[in-house]
Amino acid sequence: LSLDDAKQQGLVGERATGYLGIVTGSPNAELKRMVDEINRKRQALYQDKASKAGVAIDIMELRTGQRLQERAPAGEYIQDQNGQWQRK
Amino acid sequence: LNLKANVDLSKPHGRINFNLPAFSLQQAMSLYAPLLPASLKPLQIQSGSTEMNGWLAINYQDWHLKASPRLSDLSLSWDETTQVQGVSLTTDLELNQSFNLTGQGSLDVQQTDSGIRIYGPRVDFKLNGQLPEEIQLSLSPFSLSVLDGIIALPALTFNPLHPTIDTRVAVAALDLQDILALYPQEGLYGSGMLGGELPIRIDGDRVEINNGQLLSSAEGGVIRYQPTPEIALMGQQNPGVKMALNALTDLRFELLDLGFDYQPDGDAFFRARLKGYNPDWQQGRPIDLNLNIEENLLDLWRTLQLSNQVTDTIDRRFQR
Amino acid sequence: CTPTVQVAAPAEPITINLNVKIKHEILVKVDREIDDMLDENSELF
Repeated sequence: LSLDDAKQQGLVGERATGYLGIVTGSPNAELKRMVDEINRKRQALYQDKASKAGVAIDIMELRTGQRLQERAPAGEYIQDQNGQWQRK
Repeated sequence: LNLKANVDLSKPHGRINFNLPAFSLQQAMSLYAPLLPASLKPLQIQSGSTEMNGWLAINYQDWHLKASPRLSDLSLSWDETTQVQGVSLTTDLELNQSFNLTGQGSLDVQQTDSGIRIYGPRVDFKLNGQLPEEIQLSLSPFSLSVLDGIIALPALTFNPLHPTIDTRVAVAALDLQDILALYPQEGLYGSGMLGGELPIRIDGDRVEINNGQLLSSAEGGVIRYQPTPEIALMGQQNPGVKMALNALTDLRFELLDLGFDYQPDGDAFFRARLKGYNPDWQQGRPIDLNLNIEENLLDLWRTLQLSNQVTDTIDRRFQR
Repeated sequence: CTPTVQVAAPAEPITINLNVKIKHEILVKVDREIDDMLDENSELF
C-alpha cells in the first residue's frame, strides 16, 4: 500500500503539524507502521532542514504542514485547527 | 465518444470517424485525478472544456490518424502559486504507423498571475518529428505584456520534452515605477521608461540571462529615496552609503544603464549606472552613481507568494 | 561695472560607487528548504 493510495482511499491525511494522521477509525497494523515510519523520517528531515534555514523545528513543521494541506488534491482529507478531518 | 466506421476487416482497409463532444475538464480532472502522474499533483482545473474530432484510415499495415483536439476557456492553478486564465487551444495533429507526427495550431493565453501579472501570449505553432522523443515545436514570434511594458520573443524551435532555447528577448516601455512597485521598498519612488535586450538561455527548467541590458529613454527619469531609520543609521556609519543616500534624495537622471545577469539558482546581479544631478545637493553638481545590487529573485518571488499565504500564527511568531 | 561672482556648480561629476546585497526574510529560506525537501523525498509527502 503506497502513501498516495492510502491518501486517495481516505485512510490517512495531512495534519496542520506537518505530520501524517490516520483518518480511518479502524487502521490495520500495516497502516499504523507505515504512518509511524513516514512521520519518523519527516521529523528527521524537518530537523535537518530547520537547522539549514536557521529556524526552530516547529517553524519548519508548521509551514510544511500548511503547504501540504494547500497542495492536497480535492477528495483527500486534511485536519483542521480543532482536529476534525475534512475532505478537501 | 461517437464512432462511425466502415472497415473491411479482412484486409483490413477502411476508415473510422470519431467525435468527442465538448465536456468539462474540471469534472474529468476530479474523476481521473488518481490516475494522473504525481508530477501533476499541484495542478487544479477551475473551468474549461475540451472536444475533439478526427478520423483513422487503415490500409493493410499502414494507418493514418488525424485528430483536432480543442481546448476552450480553460483556467487552472499550479501549486496555489500560479493562476492561468482564459486559455484556448486549437490544433490539428496527424500521425502514421511509423509514428511520424505533424501538426499545427494556435494557443491563446489571456492572463497568468504568479506574484506578477503577465498578459498573453497568443502564439501559432507547428509540430513535427517522431514520437515519442524526437519532437520539434516551432513557435511564431510572440509578445507578452508585463508591468505595462512589452516583452517580445522571436520565432523559436525546440524539443518541448527537453527544451533548450538560446534567444534574445526584447524589452520595451517598461516603467521603473512599476518595477519598483513590484517589491515596495519603504520610501523609494522612481519613474522612467526602460527598454533593451535580455539574452536568455533555457535548458530544461534552468533559466539563465547573461549580460542583459536595459537603457532609459531620452527623457531619462527620477529616483527619490527617503531612507528608513535603519538605512539612515547605516549612512552615518559608512561615507559611501551616505553620499549615495544624499544623491538619491531627488536624483534626476538623464541616463540609467542597467546591466543584468540571472543564474539558474535565482541569484541576480544588477549593475545600475546613473548619470544625473540632484538639485538639492552640491548645487546640482553632476553625479555618476554606480549601484551594484545582488539579490536572489526566486527568494523575492517566494516572498511575493508568501505575502498573501502566510497565516497569522506564523507571522505573529516572527514579530515577537 | 561691478564684477559679479557667480558660484557655478563644479563641472566634474561626483562619482559614487555602492554595492548592496539584498537578503530576504528568514521565512523565504524556510520555503526554499521545503521545496528541496519535497523534491528530494516525494515518497514521504
